Amino acid sequence: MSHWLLDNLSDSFKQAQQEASKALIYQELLNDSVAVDYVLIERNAQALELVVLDFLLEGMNDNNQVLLRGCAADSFKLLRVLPDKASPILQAEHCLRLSALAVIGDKGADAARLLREKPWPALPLNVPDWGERTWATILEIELRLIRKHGWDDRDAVLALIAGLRQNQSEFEARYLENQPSPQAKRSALELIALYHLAKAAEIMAYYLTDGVVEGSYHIRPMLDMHFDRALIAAEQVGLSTLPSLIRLLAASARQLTDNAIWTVTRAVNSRVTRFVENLVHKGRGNKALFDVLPPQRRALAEQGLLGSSRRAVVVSLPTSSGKTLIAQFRILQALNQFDAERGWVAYLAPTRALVNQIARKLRRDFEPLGIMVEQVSPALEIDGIEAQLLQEQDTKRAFRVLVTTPEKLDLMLRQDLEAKVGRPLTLVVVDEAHTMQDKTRGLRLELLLATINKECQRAQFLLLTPFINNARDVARWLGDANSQDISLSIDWQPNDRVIAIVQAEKGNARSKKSHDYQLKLKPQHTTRHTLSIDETLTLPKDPSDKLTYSKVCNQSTLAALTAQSLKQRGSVIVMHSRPDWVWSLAEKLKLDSNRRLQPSETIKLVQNFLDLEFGTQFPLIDLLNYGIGVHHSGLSDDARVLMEWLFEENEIDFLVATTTIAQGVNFPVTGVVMATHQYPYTQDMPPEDFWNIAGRAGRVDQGSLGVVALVAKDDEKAQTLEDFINRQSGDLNSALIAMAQEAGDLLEDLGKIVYSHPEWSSFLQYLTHTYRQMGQPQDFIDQIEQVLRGTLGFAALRQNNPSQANSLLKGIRTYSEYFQRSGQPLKLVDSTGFSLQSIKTALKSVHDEGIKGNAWNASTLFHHNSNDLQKMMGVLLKVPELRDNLQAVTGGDNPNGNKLALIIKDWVNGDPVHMIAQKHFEGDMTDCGRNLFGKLTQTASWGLGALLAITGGELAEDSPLRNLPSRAYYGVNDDDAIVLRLLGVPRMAATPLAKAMGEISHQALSKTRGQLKDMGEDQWVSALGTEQGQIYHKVWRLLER
Amino acid sequence: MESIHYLGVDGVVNWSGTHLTMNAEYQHFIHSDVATRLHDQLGNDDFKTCLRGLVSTGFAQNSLDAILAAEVPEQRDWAIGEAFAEAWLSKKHGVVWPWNLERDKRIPKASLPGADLIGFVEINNETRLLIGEVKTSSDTSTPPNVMNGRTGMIHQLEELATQLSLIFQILRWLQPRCKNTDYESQFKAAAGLLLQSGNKSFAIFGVLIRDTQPSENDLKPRAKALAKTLQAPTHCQIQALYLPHPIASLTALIASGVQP
Repeated sequence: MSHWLLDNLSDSFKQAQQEASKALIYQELLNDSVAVDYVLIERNAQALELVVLDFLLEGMNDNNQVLLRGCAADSFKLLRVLPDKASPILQAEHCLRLSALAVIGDKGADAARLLREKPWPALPLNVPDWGERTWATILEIELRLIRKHGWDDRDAVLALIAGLRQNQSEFEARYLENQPSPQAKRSALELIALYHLAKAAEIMAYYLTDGVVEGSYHIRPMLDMHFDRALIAAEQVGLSTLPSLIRLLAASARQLTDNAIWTVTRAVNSRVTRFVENLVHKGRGNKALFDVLPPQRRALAEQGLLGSSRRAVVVSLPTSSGKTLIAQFRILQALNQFDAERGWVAYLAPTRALVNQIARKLRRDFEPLGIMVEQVSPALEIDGIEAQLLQEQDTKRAFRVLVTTPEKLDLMLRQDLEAKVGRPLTLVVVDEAHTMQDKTRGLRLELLLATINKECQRAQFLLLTPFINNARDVARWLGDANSQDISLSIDWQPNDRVIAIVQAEKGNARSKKSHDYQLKLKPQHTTRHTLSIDETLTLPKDPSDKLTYSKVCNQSTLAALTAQSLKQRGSVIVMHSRPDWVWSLAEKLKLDSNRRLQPSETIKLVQNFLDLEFGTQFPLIDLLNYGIGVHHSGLSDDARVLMEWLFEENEIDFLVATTTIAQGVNFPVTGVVMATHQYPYTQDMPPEDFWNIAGRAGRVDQGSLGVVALVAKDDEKAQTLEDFINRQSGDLNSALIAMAQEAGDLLEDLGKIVYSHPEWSSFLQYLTHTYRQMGQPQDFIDQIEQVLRGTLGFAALRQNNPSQANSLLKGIRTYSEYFQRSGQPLKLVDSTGFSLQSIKTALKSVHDEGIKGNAWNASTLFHHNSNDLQKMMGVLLKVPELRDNLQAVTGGDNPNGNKLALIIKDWVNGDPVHMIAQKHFEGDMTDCGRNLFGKLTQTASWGLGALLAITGGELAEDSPLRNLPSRAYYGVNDDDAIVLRLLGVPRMAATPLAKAMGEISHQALSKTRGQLKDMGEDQWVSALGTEQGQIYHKVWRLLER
Repeated sequence: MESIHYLGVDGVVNWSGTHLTMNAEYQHFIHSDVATRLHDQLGNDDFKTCLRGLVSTGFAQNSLDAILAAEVPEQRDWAIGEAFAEAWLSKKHGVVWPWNLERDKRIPKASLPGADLIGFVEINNETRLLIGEVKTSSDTSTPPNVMNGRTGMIHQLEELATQLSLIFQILRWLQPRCKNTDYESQFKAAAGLLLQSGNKSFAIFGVLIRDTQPSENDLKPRAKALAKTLQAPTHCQIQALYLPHPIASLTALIASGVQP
């Protein structure tokens, strides 16, 4: 559909857009004005407004809605760059017009941000001229309604309207009487129109917070009535600008009503209502949530997610669309649906950091509703404390939402989690579900979902992904006809952004050999509606910068210089591919001009914490003095969370991170600088991950323009980057496709495949698990073929590559004949997370090493006099699933378990990280951190848990020995300390604090959490000493905020 | 009925002086064309509805009631002048008036952005938006005062031609009045042409109503000044209409034709 007016604009509109982009980019990026054709911009903006008004005269309907919104948004984008108007009233009128258009164009968040960043001028709200005063007041309240800065704006709107009513009798008569009679009539009609607008605004203000006005939950007719009456009065005023503005305001009010959280969530259930009450609650101040973003509205209301009984829903939306809130509503709905059975929800997130973040958020939001949210550690074993948490039967303490990683849930489900919990799993939320195509982890997630779909009667699915093309297929895979995809492609952006390539350009000669340089930023044309202009901008340089052209032409220096330049606009994430390069890049930003004279109390707290955990010499401590944070796998989870927090709180200007941060960031940033577009080991970042980080650039709440700058040391690199930026994300494909491709002939020999391709382990485990679950049927091979046809991966493989699918089936036949032989330890496959081959390897090795059940002794296992742990590590080094990680820790040159055992013992016995680095990693803290946090603790605890299952006999569920593997994960040597670690207490504080708290490992986790919350600083101080007590207490509060 | 007394052109600005003669044709013109435009009574009683609705807003209506109920004294010389100009342009130039501005002028000085004339006119087979100003003057000096200064015709025409927002305000005002009426196609054609031309293709008309002897000096100097600021494809016409009777007697003349 088009519109006749648009046909007359054509090229002129494109030029106007270019001019507006130019004005915006110069203003935002260089803080500079530039000569642009404002007349052209205004002419097109006004023409678009005319189109909007024309559609509004017809009434918004399904046919014109998309174009109407598009024109309104485009008009807003043009109008916002125009210079300020001459008087406060004119400027406020201008602001209101463009804000109303923004709301109509689903750009309400942009308008609100704009009004917060650059408020309209002070208006004559108290002048004696009643006409001027009333008009100024109306402008003020309408603008505040669109800005909606928490309760302040809402309260001010109501107060202003009350003030108008109160003062009417004093000022109105005089105002009208002072005019010649005919003119007074016009003024009277105008006032009538304005009073109706005031009333409509009042209705809206009450509705935003209360969801009900004068007993009505449906305010649309009330609003329409007042706008219609305002229009009737205004139309009689003559050739006035008021009627067209009223039409815009009426449409914008309708849209605001549709966006209101009360409208979107009306009549779902009482839990949802209470949740919304909490979201809009006055106590949240400026963080109160009155409305939802357009993608949320479309998902929840227009596409009916909340009223839906669909079993499988894929929500595929751009980054920063607020997918978590969508999930929260769906969770509440699912809990309500199976309330009688006290059903529970599993929330899966791909990384430890995200598990922590999500758990904290859900707990904060849901606990006031009496919904217990728990997280289990990503460690691949279930210790006694977690077992107790899962089996809690007290209705007040039992969890209803469980946050964890796919791997952990997989293991738990295969150990009969649902039966142990005694309540049905009713919903699985999969965050970042596109990780299903990840080569190493993806297949496990896919098969987990397939397993749940097959085995959990009540389970429903909500998959959250960035935009993918085949959301419908994915939804169908899980829900068949009972499925839905809610996809919103790229037509909605939370804000404007520029994707640009930065290169150095040779400047004037400084000497015979050296030249000056300039940083040139070239905005790129992309497929995602990013802003672009056909010219290159020169980035401002730090005046103290004396570098020469040849010195800056490398990726790292260019990235640092670009970040330094962009810092003027707000905080910047700078990415490089490896932790050691991240450190050196961070060092380049240690400029005198960045040094803080007086670090804030918050920075000091984090520095003190790092000192305690990593030692005084830890370089990050000094970097913080320059407003520089660092984020990579060499840091502990706690340290990384603190870095993210400092960044979000604007306490640091730079967060220098490895590219892997792109997978886990869910906080907004103003600028992103990429020294590389690759993950470690030269693998290109997938488009989804790139757009995930790019999608975070520019904050919904501040800084209109997000900048993503990729630096290029030469033209060849620039070309590579251009190609990279324009790579499209496509279908979500099962990892099985790529795995089958790589496996080649081994597809027919699944018994061997895991030794060379450990990623196949999850597939093999799926086969044996399904076999057991089916009751070990004779005709398993026929049955499994049917089951496999129901998986996303196998179905796609059959279609795309039938010969590979046949090879795989052949391999499955041979493999199942093998595991169907009697006496195979199939049960151990489900309890260890190893493939059958690996278990047999481990069993043999355990036997060879002479490891017996009595090795599981809490007082000796981690003692330096015992060599049991060394033997165990020797066994684990042979297990394909663990081998790579463990060998990496040993550096590959010491492939017995000795070094691993020594590190683990020091870790469990409480040695600080810097000492472990000194002893085992030649003092290299990064290497130590990367291995310890990134590989060893998780792999060793998983391996020990598996060995415990293999050798520990039938240990009772509540045996304390079950906690031993967790000690390796958490780095503490005490069951009570494990509880505190699970509750987020930093490692060095956990043991002394646990001692002070007494026996907490036998009580409900929620009770201990309550105790911790209630404990004052004095109790931490008495357990840890003054300095440490204060620091750890504060840090724990931060981590658990 | 009329005879052209002078004609001139400079750039896109045309001017002419027309002397009207009192005869049957003229009287018919006054009694039918002009009177019809003046006596359109539509929408006279909407004030009461507006007031009744106000109760629901919680605002008081006493003072408003008093003002709106008051009779507006008839001071309509200028309104008659505008009706005269409109009727003349319809008759002689085929100008179409989609909305009788007289309705809105029931509340005098209502016109905010300042265009006395808003209509459509065919020029070279293209429908254009017409906007314009009307001045009525018995001033014996030439040119009359109403041509000069900030409130003078020439300055106002200049504003209309150059102020971007003014044109769009007029379009926004006209839009709902043409939507779903016989004028919609003309609105589309005129607005389309305007946008295509970068807001240049429209017609500006100035009408000066006089009861003095024709003199080219009434228009020429100011028209030539205006020609300096206007460019093609904008079209501008300034006309002086010299009545065969005093302006003051127009009201009576119209009334004499109205059937009791």
